[in-house]
Amino acid sequence: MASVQRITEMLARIKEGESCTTHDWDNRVVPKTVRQILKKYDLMHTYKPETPVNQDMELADRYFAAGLELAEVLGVQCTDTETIVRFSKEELLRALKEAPSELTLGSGSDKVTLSARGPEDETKPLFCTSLSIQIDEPLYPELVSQLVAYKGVDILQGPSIDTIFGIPAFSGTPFETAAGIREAKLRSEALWKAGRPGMQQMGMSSSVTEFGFMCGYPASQTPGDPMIGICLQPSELKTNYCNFNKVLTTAAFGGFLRTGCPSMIGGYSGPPEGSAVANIASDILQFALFGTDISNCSMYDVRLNSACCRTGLWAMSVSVQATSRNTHTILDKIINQSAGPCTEDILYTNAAGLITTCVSGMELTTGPRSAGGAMKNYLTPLEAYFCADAFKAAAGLKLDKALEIVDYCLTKYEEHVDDQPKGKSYYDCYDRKTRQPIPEWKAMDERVREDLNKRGLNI
Amino acid sequence: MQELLTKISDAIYDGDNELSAELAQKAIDEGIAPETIINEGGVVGLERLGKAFDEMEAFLPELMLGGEAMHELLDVVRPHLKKSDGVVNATVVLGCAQGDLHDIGLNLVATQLSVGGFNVINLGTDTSVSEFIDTAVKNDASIIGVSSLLTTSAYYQDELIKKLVKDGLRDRFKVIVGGGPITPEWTEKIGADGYSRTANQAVQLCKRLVSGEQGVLVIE
Repeated sequence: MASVQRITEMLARIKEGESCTTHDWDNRVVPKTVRQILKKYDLMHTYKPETPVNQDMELADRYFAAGLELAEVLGVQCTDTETIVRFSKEELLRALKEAPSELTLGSGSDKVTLSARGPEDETKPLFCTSLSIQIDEPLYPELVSQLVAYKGVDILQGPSIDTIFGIPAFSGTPFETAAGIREAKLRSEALWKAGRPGMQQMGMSSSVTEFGFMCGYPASQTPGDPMIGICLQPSELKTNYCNFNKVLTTAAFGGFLRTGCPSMIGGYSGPPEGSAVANIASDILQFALFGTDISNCSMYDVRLNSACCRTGLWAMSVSVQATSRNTHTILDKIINQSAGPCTEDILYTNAAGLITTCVSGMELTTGPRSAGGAMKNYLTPLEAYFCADAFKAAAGLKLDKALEIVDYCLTKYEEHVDDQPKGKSYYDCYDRKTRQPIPEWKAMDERVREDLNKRGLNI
Repeated sequence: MQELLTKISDAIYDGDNELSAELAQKAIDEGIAPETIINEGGVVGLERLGKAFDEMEAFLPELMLGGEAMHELLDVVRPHLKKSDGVVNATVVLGCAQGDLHDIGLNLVATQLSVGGFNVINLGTDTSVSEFIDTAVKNDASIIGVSSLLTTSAYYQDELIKKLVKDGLRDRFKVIVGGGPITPEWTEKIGADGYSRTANQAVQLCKRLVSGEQGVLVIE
């Protein structure tokens, strides 16, 4: 759990750090250093397309050593001060040692325990729903109460709203502040409707900048049950003041921290191998920089805007295996689906991504990211339930069995992974009177579950 | 001549700013036509980079540096262009809307437009409506492009157009919009001039707009 004093001291340290422009950091420092580390640890060309779930644990350990060194050599760049904060190896290892291996979340009958896992672990991971997909404000209580009513859902992040009482929520203004406060009220209503008032919450979703967070977070608190603060940075190995404002707010209210920044295959860290090393370094640095409780450094391939492709699955598997085998920390990586509701693609990509991360040792995931998270109201309870079940069903699978199932799933969508179908909106694939999926969507879900059951995933 | 053009292509591929400018000047001095320097030197280098990106041999930093090297080349060559040369000679002001810090897509569009021969002014993330307009006026731009990954920042695309109308500047600039949640319907609703889904398509879009094509242009 972060402290205001520690975070303030870190801010002072960043301010005094070595100067580096964001342009140089992104385009010269990160690419060059990643290449040097890959070469030093003999990791170039270790990406094997035929094993999207890595089977080589020695390789995973070598990746961890490389990620640790990358974290030490690079540190983190702050885009506001254009300075770098670096950590010694001892500092990084101490931060990892001091990170929690278990968190008790929620209260009453909704209380759950989030525990560190390893590859092939039989302990079931936890599932948080959904990503911050924008939905109509009046739809929030109806849709979110259905999302959280499901027994497989452990934590609420929830969608976001882009209006407040019908008025546009302009980002970076008091309108966004109001959106955060409004979301807090809607969350509370949805949890009450679902009969799960003690469920652990993560927030805020309607917070593009810190404005929505700094009032919405306190407004969502329940006594003695602090919210997990989501404090994310758009790209890897960087931070900014906006994120620190969110971290400080969380610390002030005694909440748990979920911090992170995504790594992009094809982006600044280069090939899948480079992105995997950068992702491990990013995870390690979250603990040193913020004293985070949950590291949330996800991955995606910039060409496809997804991590459910072969490169993304492989890189996620190596990264999670590396960190889960060599630390006791808690990770949450988002699989970044891009298909939408009422398509088989979203179900098979959910299965491929979540089997990969679960069997590699991940403790928590947040999803779904239906239709790439870009289409308003393209989110339904059915794919969220599927995610929860697939993720948990993968616990205890062996890596080779997981590979077999993931390979099978890839045959269902890989040919068109660069152009996944966006599907239908909630309004088009749910009957709002009965609150049930339309027959077409229900049948699709049943068909894919049956298919995966036959393949050995007990979903 | 071909040897020099190949060297220019290599300099762009390697993202070497100084060499790109130096070789462009040498080509001008040797009497090579400006459009040949651009199309058979610079653009060839960037097309090689694009192919390498698709095949995972080059990555975003290489694309960015290649785009910057092309910018340097264009700075040298542009004063020698005549309108009849058939090369685009227009300025595009680009940025992410206020409150939006997601600049990967923006940078790809900026690079592709540079490749396409446009003079690009990239204002980066979290750009206010006033900054877009002031920069466009100051640089006599033809197009303003606003990127948004979030609908709460997409509202500023609408605001920008409203402010252009209010300030009597709407006819002076074409406005293009893009980003994850942006759709043709939204483009039409706010009265923007164009939308494209990908960075590559943004080049076609801008070329059609500066050629005087009218109506809302959508490339999906």
